[in-house]
Amino acid sequence: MRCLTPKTLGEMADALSQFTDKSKVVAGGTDYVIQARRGKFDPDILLYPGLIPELHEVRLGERELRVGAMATMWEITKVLESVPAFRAVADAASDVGSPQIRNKATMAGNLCNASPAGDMLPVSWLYDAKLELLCGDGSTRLLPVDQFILGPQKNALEPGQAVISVIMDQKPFEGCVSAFKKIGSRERVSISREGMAALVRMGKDGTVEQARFTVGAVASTPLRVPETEALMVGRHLEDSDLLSAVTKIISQTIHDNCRPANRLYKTEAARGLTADLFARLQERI
Amino acid sequence: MKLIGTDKPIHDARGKAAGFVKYAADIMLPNMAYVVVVHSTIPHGYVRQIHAEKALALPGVFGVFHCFNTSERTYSHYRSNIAQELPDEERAFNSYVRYVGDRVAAVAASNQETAEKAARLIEVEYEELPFTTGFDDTLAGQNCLPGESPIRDEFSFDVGTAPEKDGLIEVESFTEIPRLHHATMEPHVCVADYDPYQQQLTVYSPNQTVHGIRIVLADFLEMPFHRVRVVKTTMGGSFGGKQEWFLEPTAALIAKALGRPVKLVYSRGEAMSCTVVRAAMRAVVRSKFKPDGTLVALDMDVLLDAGAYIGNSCDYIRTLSGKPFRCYRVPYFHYRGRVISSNTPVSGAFRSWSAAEEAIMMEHHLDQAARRLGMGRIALRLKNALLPGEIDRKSGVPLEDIRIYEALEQGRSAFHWDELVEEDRAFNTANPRFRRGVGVGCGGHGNTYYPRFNDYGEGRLSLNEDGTVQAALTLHDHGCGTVTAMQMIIGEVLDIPDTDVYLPEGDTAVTPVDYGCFASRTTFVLGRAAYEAAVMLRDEILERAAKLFSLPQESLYLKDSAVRCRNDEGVKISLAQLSRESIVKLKRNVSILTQFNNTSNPGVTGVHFAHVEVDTWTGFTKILDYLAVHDIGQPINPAMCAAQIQGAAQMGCGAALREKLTVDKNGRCTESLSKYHLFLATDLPDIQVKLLTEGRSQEGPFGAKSIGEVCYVPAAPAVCGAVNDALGSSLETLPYDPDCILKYLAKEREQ
Repeated sequence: MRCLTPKTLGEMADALSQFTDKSKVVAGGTDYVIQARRGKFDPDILLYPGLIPELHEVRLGERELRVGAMATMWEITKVLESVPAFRAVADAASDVGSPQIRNKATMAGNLCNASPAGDMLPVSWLYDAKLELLCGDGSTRLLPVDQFILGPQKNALEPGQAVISVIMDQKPFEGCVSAFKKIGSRERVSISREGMAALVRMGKDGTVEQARFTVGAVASTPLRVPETEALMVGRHLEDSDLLSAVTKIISQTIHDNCRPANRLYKTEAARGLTADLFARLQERI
Repeated sequence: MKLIGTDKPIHDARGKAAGFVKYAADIMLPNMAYVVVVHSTIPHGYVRQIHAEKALALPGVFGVFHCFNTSERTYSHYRSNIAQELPDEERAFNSYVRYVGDRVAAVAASNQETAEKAARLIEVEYEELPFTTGFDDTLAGQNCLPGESPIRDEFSFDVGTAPEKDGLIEVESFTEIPRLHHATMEPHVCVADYDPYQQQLTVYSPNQTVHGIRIVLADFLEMPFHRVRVVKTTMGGSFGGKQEWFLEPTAALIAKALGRPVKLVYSRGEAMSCTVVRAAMRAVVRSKFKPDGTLVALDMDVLLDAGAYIGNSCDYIRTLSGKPFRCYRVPYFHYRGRVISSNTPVSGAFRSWSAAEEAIMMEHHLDQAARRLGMGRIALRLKNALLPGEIDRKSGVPLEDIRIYEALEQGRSAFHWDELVEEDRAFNTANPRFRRGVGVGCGGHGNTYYPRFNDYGEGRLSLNEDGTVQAALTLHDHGCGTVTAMQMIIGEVLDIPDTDVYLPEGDTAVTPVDYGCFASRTTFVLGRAAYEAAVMLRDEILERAAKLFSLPQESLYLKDSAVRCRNDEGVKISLAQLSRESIVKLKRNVSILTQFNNTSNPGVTGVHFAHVEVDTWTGFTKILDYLAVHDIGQPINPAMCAAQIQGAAQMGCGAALREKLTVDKNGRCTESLSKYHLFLATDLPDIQVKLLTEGRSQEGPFGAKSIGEVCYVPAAPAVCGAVNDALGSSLETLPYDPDCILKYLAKEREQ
């Protein structure tokens, strides 16, 4: 096995041009190492892009939020926890695994791993995130997240391609507040059994003007719930009838999409999780 | 007392915190081979063929060992002393496999990676047999071979005579508990070294009895005992998980075959699926009470699933039957225990050796009885709690100064139980989502094997030339402070600093034959042996001093590492000086050997209180407050006693609310901590601890009683009781995880 550690994007493209279908890219390694120890991979080339400075950046530009492929969950949390529109990303990043994991794991890696339980999936769906891919010839291309993640543990990367950043547009979410909340096996250090992300823009009259709602860890990829979004528009978040109506739709969506073994729990628990998510949104308005 | 009752860090705390301490996995020997075991992938059947060619072709592979090229000799993984009569059930590598995880082969290679790679290249052909994973299919005999009965062992007995009196209130309860994993931080490890020229085997492993392993290895490898040396290494936790032998025979066999040292380190997955688990059990408990709450008769019917091998199950199911008598007054007791064997991970010892399981059954039953009787849960327990001076009615042993009654009373007030009950009522009325409740659990345990075996301990002490002390006792510190406790006991008697006592741990080449660390016997039995040895050494020192310095022996005493004389303040003979003079002038070391055998096993008990909040919308339970009250006699090192209790509370909360080792329909069990949900520090409130120290034992050192296991016994029952109180439920199957709670609430809503 050859280990390549490019220091620039140009060198990384060169490295990628040598890739075969056995070659791998490792970022934080929090998923890779576990699977490698089980003998799942036998790479001929292992590429580590951690020496490329710009890939560590979490940059909030005028048009877009750009999360470098090497930015850790901790770094993402630090930048975005004070940005209401993208607070949901910070919520999700701040609750992945343990502090040790959050100091290594990356958003890009979480999306590449494409676990249905990955916390960065529902928030990526929430913002219609796009992944920027670098190819062996030095060119880049953008792929929407729902075309990038094809199913459990399946992404659209071809040999010789690597994710270099995750991009979310700024414009559509100006003035929004957002939140993410999950249920795992326990309060902390836990893999999601159910995750929900929502963002709302409030009108001057205190009612919802625009809403988005996604549910993770239920189906193989996150679910947008447009009925809920439509229902929320024009309503006050503290309206308890709204919460009940939303809960009902979410529960039904979960019921229809999740595996039978988990159906009862996930459908029932949706009530608590939805209520907690609404409470988080209200705190942030 | 200068040392006893003071708070001391454990002897290797600093080294552990700094990452300096060496565990078995850190041992590196020249020319060492790395061993990786290949486990059965089917739950039941025969190995027909093993294809090792690809593995053997890999550079760096020293050998592949399997059922067709190694000894057919069998051993019992549970054998731990010379007195046991047990069937030898398994081979190093089995051709008849009984669960997913059974050892079928192993690779030895020049490094771990090569060994792992080679292990993956081994192909095993099986002939599959029908298998079972649950109680019902196993009871139905679906995995039995011709001639086998689904019931592998049955045991019943009575204590007292059945009551005839009418007007008794009858209560019945059902409890089911899942398999548990010990979750030690260090997995199972063994390093074995063989010298073919002296035919000498040396085995290093974290374990609870070096002499027990020696018996098994000597028999299995047909070697004399003196050619087998077993060394206990620093242990990163056991909780009973390292008192049965899965790695040692395999590693020793390969070391002997290769004539080079080998290292075998189990992964977390292997530790979970291929060592031992706590057995799954079902229990029906029936009782009769007088209307005032006096227990008149108790009937327990327990079914234990041993998993793939019977191992300790027959002893375990019998031991469980004695536990009610360590806590409550039971005038009439009927017991039936049965053992079945499914194709699931092997059951074995778990902290408290069945007392915690019995307490889950019993305390759940008492909570239901209290409801039936219209009594408070604490009042019902007070009514039946054993009092000082009573005896264990099953074994006939006096319980001495047992303080369970006092622990209940003091805990009730310190926990503000009655106030909490009122507050919770108001809270629950006002809150649509969260429900609160309180729970109490009582538990009793022992301090020694006595009277099951005649227990004993041996200690040797000698004075070094500089006045420090060298000790030889067979200790197996699990990380809970055994070594420090012994240093404190010896230091106290000799009036020297505890750090002036050097104590190696169990090593068959160095320390005396001993049962090992079982039955919470270490402090009580070996602590007393250490005490006796120190007293004997003190007498020896004083006698030598009298002789050497022509002083009246009865006026001599030890103070601050020197011999002093009551009649003459000017006399001050340092222990260093005494040691040297004895060697030079008397031509004798100052050393002694003592043996002690105890003939008592006093009551040692604890009561835990938990206050919980259940989120009825997500099923999560939060522990709000927790208090553990323990009747432990004289604590040797109170800070470590408190730490043990806090750790036990954490384990008990996990057992009550989350932990279960599940087996899927193909017989594969949970193999990762990502799917086995332990309680973390972030899940817990500050665990309050109250030690009741007045109920001294007669034989323990300075009146000490045990702590390591008894503190785990009441934990899960207290938490379970609190959840049932919050929900008004009597949930029968543990753990009360979010799924269990939401399922219950959904069912309630439908009705």
